[in-house]
Amino acid sequence: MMGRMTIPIGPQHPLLKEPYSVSLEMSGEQVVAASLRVGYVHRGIEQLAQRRSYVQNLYLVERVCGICSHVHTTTYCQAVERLADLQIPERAAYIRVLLCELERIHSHLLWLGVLAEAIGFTTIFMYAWRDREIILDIMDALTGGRVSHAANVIGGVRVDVTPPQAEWLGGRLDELAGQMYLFESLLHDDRSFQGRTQGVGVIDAEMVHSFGVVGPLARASGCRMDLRRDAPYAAYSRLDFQVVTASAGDVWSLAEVRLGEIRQSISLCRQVLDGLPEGDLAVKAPRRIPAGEAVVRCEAPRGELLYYIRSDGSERPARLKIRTPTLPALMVLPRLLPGLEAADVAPVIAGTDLCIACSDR
Amino acid sequence: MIDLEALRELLLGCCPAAIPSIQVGVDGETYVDISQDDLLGVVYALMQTTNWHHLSAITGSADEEGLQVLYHVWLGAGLSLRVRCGQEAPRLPSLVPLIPGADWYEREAHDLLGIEFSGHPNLKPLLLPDKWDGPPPLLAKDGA
Repeated sequence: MMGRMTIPIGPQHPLLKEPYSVSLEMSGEQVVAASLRVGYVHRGIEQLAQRRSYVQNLYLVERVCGICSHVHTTTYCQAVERLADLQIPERAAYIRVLLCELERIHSHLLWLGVLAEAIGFTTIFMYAWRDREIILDIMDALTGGRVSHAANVIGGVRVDVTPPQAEWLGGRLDELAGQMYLFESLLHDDRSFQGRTQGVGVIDAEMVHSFGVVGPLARASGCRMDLRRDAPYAAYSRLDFQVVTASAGDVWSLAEVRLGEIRQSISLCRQVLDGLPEGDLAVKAPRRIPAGEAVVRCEAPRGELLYYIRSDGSERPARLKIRTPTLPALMVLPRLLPGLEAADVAPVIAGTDLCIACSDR
Repeated sequence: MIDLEALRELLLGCCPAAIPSIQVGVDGETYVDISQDDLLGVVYALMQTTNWHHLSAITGSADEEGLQVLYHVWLGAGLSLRVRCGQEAPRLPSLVPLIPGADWYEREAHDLLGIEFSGHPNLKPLLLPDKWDGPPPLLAKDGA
């Protein structure tokens, strides 16, 4: 019988990109139990939102997450627009989709880089983050911000896509699409990548349902949930795309789903650029929002993002609730780690694509 | 969209004491008001339907009538179950025995609104520091 040892990882640790704490109980090289602690970056955003106007909150919710900032404002705006009974212009709906899909590509490439680094593939990490720069350049050119874009306003969008921009953007997307073979060959041909990721950190369908796991994690286990198809918002109902799924639920399947989604997102961006309707960018929104409540769900890069807003008819929300897709992933993580070898802990944690600032709020 | 007739029938089966009201909101979400005694029964009955997918979130909030807690579930369309409780020593039954994924949502509602969930296996602070001694943040008066 080998002695047991507890290894605390975090809240500050080179393996972790954000502060949280994982405590691993080890028996030799094997994990026998794991526990998790979050809350180190809780900023009280929901409480703060109750003291800010609807317009100020737009900039607050953009700062919930440093990766998927646009989908946060999209979801928030949709909830406020439902309460105020605003119909956004068709052009704005298309531009929202464009930015959401660009954001999905950059989030998935960022994830691929983090996973590659976690298993020692530093070259792939460099390539993935290099190609992610294409998207950040596009975001910068369209909105003026690489991370926080401030592209949405209540009632539409602030930024337009001009024909010369659209042409340039199409060229940059071709450039990115041309690089995808590199990552796809890693997935399908690289035996050491497969050896490190196949059969590791399996999330099964039962875990998906009992913990409410969403997004690529659910789709990698064969669950076809995607809000862009199940409850289309913005312009998704007018666009053509496939919901990418896999069946094994392991880290390799997560990579397969996310790389497939990048291809779909590139196609969605092209459809938006080709079919961008003419018209206004936004409708005027009132300062006071009629009393009522709204629940809105959007498909963020990591899955279902939920906003609940209750208005009492004033300039400030009476309650703003944010449920980010990382929360169920965090709940399931301590169930994935027991039984793993120590070396597999890093790819499994990286595979779940945690966003701690998002979940702590 | 949720089949309202089927939902009404399901609710009649598990809420014998009171007929819950069903409203469809401006957001397309279906809201059902139920009493806290019926909560576990309704959730269990919903979980047996083929459309059941997952519990998305639990939102607690304070208003002039006390506390309201919304259980947002996904059944291929959004459904929110609304349960009310008083602001003095609020207590609700925990969903964790039925849905393990309710764990952190209940801990968060405990942190931010001080709601006790009876039957929760581990109702420790999730977002707040262990030694937090102030009032639950969402109940604090402005400026606290």
